[in-house]
Amino acid sequence: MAPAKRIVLAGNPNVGKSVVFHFLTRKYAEVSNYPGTTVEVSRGRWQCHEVADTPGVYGLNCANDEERLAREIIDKAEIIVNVVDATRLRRDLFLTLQLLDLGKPMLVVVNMMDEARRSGRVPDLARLEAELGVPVLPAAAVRGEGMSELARELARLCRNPPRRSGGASPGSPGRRQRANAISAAVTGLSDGNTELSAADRWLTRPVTGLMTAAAVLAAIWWVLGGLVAGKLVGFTEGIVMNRWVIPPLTRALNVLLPRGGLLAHVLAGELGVLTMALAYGLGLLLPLVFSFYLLLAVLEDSGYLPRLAVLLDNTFRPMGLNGKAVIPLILGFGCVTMAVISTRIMSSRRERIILAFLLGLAVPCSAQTGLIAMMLVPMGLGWLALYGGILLGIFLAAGVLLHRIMPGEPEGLFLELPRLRLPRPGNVLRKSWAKARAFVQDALPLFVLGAVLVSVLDYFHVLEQLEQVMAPITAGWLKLPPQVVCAFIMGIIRRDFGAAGLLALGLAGSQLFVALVTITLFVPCIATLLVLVKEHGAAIAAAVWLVSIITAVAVGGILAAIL
Amino acid sequence: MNLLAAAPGKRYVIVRIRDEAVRRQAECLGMGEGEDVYCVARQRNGPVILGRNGQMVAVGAETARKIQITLWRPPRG
Ligand SMILES: Nc1nc2c(ncn2[C@@H]2O[C@H](COP(=O)(O)OP(=O)(O)OP(=O)(O)O)[C@@H](O)[C@H]2O)c(=O)[nH]1
Ligand SMILES: [Mg+2]
Repeated sequence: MAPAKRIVLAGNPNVGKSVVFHFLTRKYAEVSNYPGTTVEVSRGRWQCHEVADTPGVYGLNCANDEERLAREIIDKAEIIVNVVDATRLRRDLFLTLQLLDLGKPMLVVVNMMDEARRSGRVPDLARLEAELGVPVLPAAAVRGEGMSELARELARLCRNPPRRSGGASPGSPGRRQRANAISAAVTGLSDGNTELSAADRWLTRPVTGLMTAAAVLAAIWWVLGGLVAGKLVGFTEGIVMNRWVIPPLTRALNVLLPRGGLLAHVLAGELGVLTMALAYGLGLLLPLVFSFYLLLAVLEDSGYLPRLAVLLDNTFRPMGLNGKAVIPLILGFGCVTMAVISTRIMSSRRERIILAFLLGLAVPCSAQTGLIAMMLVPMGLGWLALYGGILLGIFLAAGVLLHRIMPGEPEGLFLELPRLRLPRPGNVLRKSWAKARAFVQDALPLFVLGAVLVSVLDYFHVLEQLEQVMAPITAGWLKLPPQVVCAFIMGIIRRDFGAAGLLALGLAGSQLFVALVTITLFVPCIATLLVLVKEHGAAIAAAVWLVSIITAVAVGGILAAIL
Repeated sequence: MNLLAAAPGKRYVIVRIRDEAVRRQAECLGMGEGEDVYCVARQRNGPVILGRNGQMVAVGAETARKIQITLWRPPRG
């Protein structure tokens, strides 16, 4: 048995490193069709060896955080697996040459051979191997092609790693020329024109692009609002939970537990564990969240998001951002916590902080949106439009303001566009499943905990006292019943939980509207807060938190006065 | 001329990139100083899409203004 080695997967963004990682380690890794999917190093085991999947980088100059991170892992590794895209060798070989110069045992996986074959330009891999002096293997990772050969070659490399001497430093000149020359020799083409495909023309031109974006939004709304919220949730919450699961449990609890006791209140009370965790958490939210992730996965895997970034680039400029910001923002409509991590695809800290603020303040996550839509849609289109308008207005205003007050300069867009691809159903399902599972794992315990907390506070009449203390704000300023305090306490734990608290209150009309806007703008989840602390430090996290509360209460109060 | 003046379908040589970070990244991507690229598409005041061998890079207006180009001429002989 060979001693355990540290293996690193390295390569340009979007070449299929994470697919190869999944194949080797069987560990779940997110795979999407845009550069910058992997933002954190993830590790797994292959045989007795450790394999690390890294964020894609274009070079080892340590020009940004991603490159520094990747460089650190590559430096620690003993064996490098360099994944390259068979149709983008001219680009990829630059990094390959830099990696070679590190002098470590290495092999090159030429991935996407299926697409190279389809375009009729299959590179001469024997020639490439001769030029590079390390093993070169063809692969089409999504089809499993070349993977067993990779495993065999890797095993050989782990058993007796060849000695290789290091070369020039990563900054040395001439590497680009060499990469160009090798690529020209291997692919037999050096100056091919690129024409925008019809689909790309359609997606990136303003008029047709915006039409498509509107159509995509409408389709999402139709599926989520119509099919899922209307029909599926009616079944999962209305029938499965509220008829089949909860009533027998409640009956059993009533037999077992003394009526009016603390435990009965915590479990079966109005805001108890059964209602909150089972009816709302599983019956209502899980189907909504899962369906949203399904649609999101289709968008991610098609390559549509980078086109949207091109289309909206100018729109983001007044906020000190560039079009790339649309990617974390759209991911934020799934889960704000994950989106805050994915802001790492922005190249500057300034942009990441602006985005973190906007995500924490004005982007509702899928679970929260689902609940809010359940209450808002029956009120009619006018209210819905007003709600959207207010959120958008605050989003834009906050962005412009942040751009004004933050020191530093905005970064312009410089983004590679991946090929448009048909999403693979297997990957779409796997990804949505993984995210929905994370939702259940993260949210459900908090729902249970929150339900216990609120029920206990209620049982000991602490809630009543809080309601009285907060009455000047809730009843006086926001003109809401004092009981909303409970929803806001729940909202501090999780935003969607707060919205669920409102649902339980049964408000109507303008009161409901004010409450919905306020809870949307209210503080981000505890989980988001923790990620904010980790990414940007306690000061920024606290600022996001406080600004959210102040904005929420201010806007809510103004609305209450007007409506 | 700068990249914002590029016309779709034409081939250009990148002369100078006046932004350190963009210059480095462009070099890695194979679209650095001295390389030739095609202007694939351009929005009015908006991103320019550069292309070469099927590879496409979108460059925002602000960045495009910092990239000097000239029309590509076929080598003589
Ligand atoms: N046709 C084809 N598509 C592939 C192949 N390998 C990966 N893909 C697709 O390429 C895209 C990128 O794959 P990822 O594994 O996320 O790429 P990555 O290198 O991890 O990307 P980053 O994490 O962004 O650096 C996905 O849409 C995959 O489905 C392949 O062999 N053939
Ligand atoms: Mg990846």
